[in-house]
Amino acid sequence: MANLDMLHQPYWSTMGPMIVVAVAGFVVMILEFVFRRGDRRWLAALSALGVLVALVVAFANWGTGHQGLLQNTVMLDSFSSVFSVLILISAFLVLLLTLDYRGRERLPAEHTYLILFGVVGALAMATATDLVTLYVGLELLSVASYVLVAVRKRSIRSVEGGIKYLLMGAIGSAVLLYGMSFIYGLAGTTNVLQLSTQGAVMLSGYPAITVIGFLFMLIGMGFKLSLVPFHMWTPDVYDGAPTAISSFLATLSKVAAFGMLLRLLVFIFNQSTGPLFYWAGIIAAITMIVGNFAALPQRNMKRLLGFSSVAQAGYTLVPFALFGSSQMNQWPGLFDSISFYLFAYTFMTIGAFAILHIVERAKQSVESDALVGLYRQSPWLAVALSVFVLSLAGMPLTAGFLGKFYIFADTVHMHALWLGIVLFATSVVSFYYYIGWLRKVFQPLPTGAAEWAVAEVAAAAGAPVGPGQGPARSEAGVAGSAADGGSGGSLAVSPVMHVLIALCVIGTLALGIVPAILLHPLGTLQWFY
Amino acid sequence: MSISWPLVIFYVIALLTLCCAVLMLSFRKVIYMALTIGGVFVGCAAVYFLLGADFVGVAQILIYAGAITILIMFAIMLTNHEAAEPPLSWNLKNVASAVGCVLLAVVLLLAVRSTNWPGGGATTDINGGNTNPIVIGLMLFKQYTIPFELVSVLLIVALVGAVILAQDRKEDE
Repeated sequence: MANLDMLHQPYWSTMGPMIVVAVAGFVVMILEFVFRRGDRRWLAALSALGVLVALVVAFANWGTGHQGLLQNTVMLDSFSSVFSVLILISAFLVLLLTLDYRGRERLPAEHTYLILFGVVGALAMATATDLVTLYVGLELLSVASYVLVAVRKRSIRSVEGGIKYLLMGAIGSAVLLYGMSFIYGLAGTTNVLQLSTQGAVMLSGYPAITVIGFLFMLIGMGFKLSLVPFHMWTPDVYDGAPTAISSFLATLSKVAAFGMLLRLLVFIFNQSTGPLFYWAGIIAAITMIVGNFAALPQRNMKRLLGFSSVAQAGYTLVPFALFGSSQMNQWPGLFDSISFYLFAYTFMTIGAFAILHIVERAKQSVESDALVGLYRQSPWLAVALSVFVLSLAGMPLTAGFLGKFYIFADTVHMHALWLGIVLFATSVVSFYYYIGWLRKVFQPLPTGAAEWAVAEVAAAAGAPVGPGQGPARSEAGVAGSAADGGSGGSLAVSPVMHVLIALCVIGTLALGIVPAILLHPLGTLQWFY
Repeated sequence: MSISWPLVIFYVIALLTLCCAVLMLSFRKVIYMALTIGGVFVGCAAVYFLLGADFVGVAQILIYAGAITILIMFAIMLTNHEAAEPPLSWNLKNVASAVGCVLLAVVLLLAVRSTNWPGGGATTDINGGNTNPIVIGLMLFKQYTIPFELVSVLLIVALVGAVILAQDRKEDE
């Protein structure tokens, strides 16, 4: 008796984006084996195209109810739609950013399909409703990230970051699995939907073990989300990894991990509420405080963005803590807050990393002093960076402000004002270091020092210094562009980067000024079933 | 009073496994550590057999005790087989970690001991009359097909990643 049931399942509608990205990944991998020579950046372009196709598929599935696959190991529902779309958007932006690597800092071409496979894992984390599938997705994303961080083997910091990330990630996975094993042992099922009916029974019957399972799962995900006190790897890894990969870790993998956390905690423990989610509130508060204060003394911009992303993860965790103290009919509001903040966070963080990448290449430095005089050299980049940084800090008219405002409003509504106050106070602290960047951006170049720096950079790269050199048009080099940048011309920015930064600026401002473009589609979604 | 032999065997196995684990932590030479971790893996496999999970036990021996231990040995022999850790010193960090570990173990032990675990009697058959491997196979290729396929992608990523990181690349300018 042939079992044809397996063939007649809604594979395409539930995991269409995942299939598209996986196929794109294998195609790019094979093409990479075949074409070994020349400039292989077209592979990244092809990958971006694959991600776009997947995005179309994900949009087609938006809001089409819910559908389970193979006894609900994978689900199409509102959560998976929202998180899939966001993951694919950030994957597209990150791939655009990798397109700009060239010359001496070129990444190995293998990174393109590693990113795609990582995206497959992230999509699995967003769509799966089974502990096994969720965990396999998490590992797929993690293993791809470990390799991506260490991919610049000549750089000792890159390899150090990779090793650190591998070890911390492995510990996180082990703790997560330990927590899951307790929950599985109590309930006898790994299916999140079945577990959701048993959450209350588990908590009343076996309180100690349930709390331990909850905490271990939260801590395991905390390693991946770099929540304090499990965040120490973050600055080192972000600093060591290529900038595009740092932005991949900061946005895509965090979004996927938040999606998975939502599935784990809210689905499994939805009726037990109360004391469990209080723990999430404590971790959120510590994360916001430590993340922001640790960022204060940072001079290295990538490390600062690392600590900043720790703090942002703290803000995003606040709504998770509110599930305990709210009624079921308030939950869609919390889901909206989480989704909105993650959308805003994705645009502003990738934008900030993109500009950081341009500045890093021009000045060969990631110290914040490299920003000095940016406004003189390129008003457009300076304004774009201001938008991103103000949004990260939470200035009105930007997406970051509204995201924080919604979360703050939630804390007020759901009687957890202390979390709202911590959020507000730490945001004020964050203004200090973000404004520090802006001061440097709009500060004029000290005249004597500039020439000196230009000469040094050019000499190091072995290129002649021409005072009247035209805009760098070709691969002629980093030196040429740096020389232009230093002597008051424009930074060499490829059209792709302009498009990327423009997209991020539009995303940040549009969400900040007309939030309805995202809130309306979110509002029409049916979160429960 | 009759002696419950499985219980006696369990205590013997548990003792041996714990000994191996403690030895592994106290050895300073990497190659001895690799040997003792093999002992821990075999001990775990024996516990699985005692629990009636034959398939997991065999898989544990094949994969962990066999493949992984041997792989670690090869890695050590091919790289730096004289490597030894500096002797343990009781500085603040080590003391704090030890206290933390003991506390965690106490909390876990108390929680596990105080819980009246769910479970049927010895006659409960969750396999529906089939043997373990058959049920595992059915689950793997029916309900868990998608994670199974994702694991194959995971293996590709791990393989490619290992090659990328290990190959001696001439940085193409």
